[in-house]
Amino acid sequence: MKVLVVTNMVPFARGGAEELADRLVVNLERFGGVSAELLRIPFSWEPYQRIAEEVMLCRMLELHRVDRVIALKFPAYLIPHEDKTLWLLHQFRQAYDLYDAGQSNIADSSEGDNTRRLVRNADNACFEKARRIFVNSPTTQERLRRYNGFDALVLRPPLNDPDALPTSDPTTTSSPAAV
Amino acid sequence: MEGAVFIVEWLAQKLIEHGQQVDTVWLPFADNPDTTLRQMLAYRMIDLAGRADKLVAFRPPAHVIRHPNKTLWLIHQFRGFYDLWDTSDRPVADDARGRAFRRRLIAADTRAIGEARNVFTNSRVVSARLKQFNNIDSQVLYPPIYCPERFRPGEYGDEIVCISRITEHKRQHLLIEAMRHVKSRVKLRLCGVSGSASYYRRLIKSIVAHSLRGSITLDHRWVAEEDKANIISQALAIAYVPFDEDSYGYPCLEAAHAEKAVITTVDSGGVLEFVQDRRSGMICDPEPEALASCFDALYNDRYTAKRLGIAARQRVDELQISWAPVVEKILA
Repeated sequence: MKVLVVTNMVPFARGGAEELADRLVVNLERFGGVSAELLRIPFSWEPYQRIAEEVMLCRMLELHRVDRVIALKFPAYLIPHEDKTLWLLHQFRQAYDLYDAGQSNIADSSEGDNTRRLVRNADNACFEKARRIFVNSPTTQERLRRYNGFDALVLRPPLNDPDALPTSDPTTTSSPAAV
Repeated sequence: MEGAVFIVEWLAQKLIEHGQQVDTVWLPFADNPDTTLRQMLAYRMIDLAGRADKLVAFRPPAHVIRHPNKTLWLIHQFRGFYDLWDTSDRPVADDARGRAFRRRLIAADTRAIGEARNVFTNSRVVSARLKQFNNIDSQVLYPPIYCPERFRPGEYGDEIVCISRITEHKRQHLLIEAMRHVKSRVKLRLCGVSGSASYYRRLIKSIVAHSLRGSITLDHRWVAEEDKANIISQALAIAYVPFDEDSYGYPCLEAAHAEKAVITTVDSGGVLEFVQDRRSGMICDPEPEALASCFDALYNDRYTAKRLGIAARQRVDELQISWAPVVEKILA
């Protein structure tokens, strides 16, 4: 099975999410019969008026010869694919809880409201079609439920939490096989 | 396809060695005429302007990405819309709609390429096409191989070697056919990974049907660089006979660094920019008999095999195929 891990990127920026994406590819490759590659789509969210274009461009890209997509971040996860699993590290929080907390770059104006609505609509359409949705923490899980009305399973990134073990709680797991 | 990966990764590595910071972005593109313009538009919307001091783009549609300091090293064009329009490779119908599509695509290319500060190509063929269809001047910048010193001369053995992707347009079948006509005891070795199982089966069938198992080795595998260098160093010469390629292809350079002559054909395209008949290799008609007589000629005259091989090595310098000038020009 050809698996494409999809995330966004900012040139020359590297952090935990980039590390996690790389590790996921390496670990998928260890699975028998899986070949995995990483796709990093450039993302630029300033000024916030760009966001509509960023959403559109991700939706206009096209994949071929890929059996499954595992997508991690907004707006890269919007890339069309019939067999998409989401592992949300977070949503575009500026359009959700950070906006409510007054910490967003999106203006409190009708233009800003349009941007937030566009993000929410694009997100909901994508979540609706996803094969499965995992999130990286109960916080992300709760946010997804509150703002978008979608349930997700918590799948903790082993890298950030190396001691995590499979729990008996049915709503959380840390098994790599889950993805 | 694999050649495209190499040129990008090798240049990135050479720029890093030169002290630059490099980040490489690979983006998807589906070869689908129905969505080609939409995909190009998606690329066009990518915003990298403030994120790097320079952008280097290689393959369409990456050339449409905007950047105030954009350098193009074009190694590919949508040839179906360009020189192959009047062939069976035309991707859309030759009707009013198809022709409008073609005009828009060429206009978009012209505009995007025109924005670049520097335009390089990998061959005179590509530069000429750019001039003809887009009226854009460009400079040929021949792509070197990453580690040329790995390829070193050795004996001039009995084998004509072809190490390349095994696929219809590389025409390994022609080399197999040629072996039916050789008069000497020359041998043929074909190595590489096959892109199509049916083409590979066709080659096997042809070898068996013509009882050529004694003189042909078909080595169906990915050949690691060190292994490749060893095989080439013991070769009599290299055969590389793709149909109408845009560039000379890495097999030519690998051969030349190992001082081996390259046997190619008059319709191989960019290969002819490197190989000169009876000077740095041999050029013949794309016919089995013609190739067979080249194989025989070198088998029967190792001195010539060596002389052409040494000239091929000199040809690399003549065309200035090395990383130092490439890095300098890309950064200019």
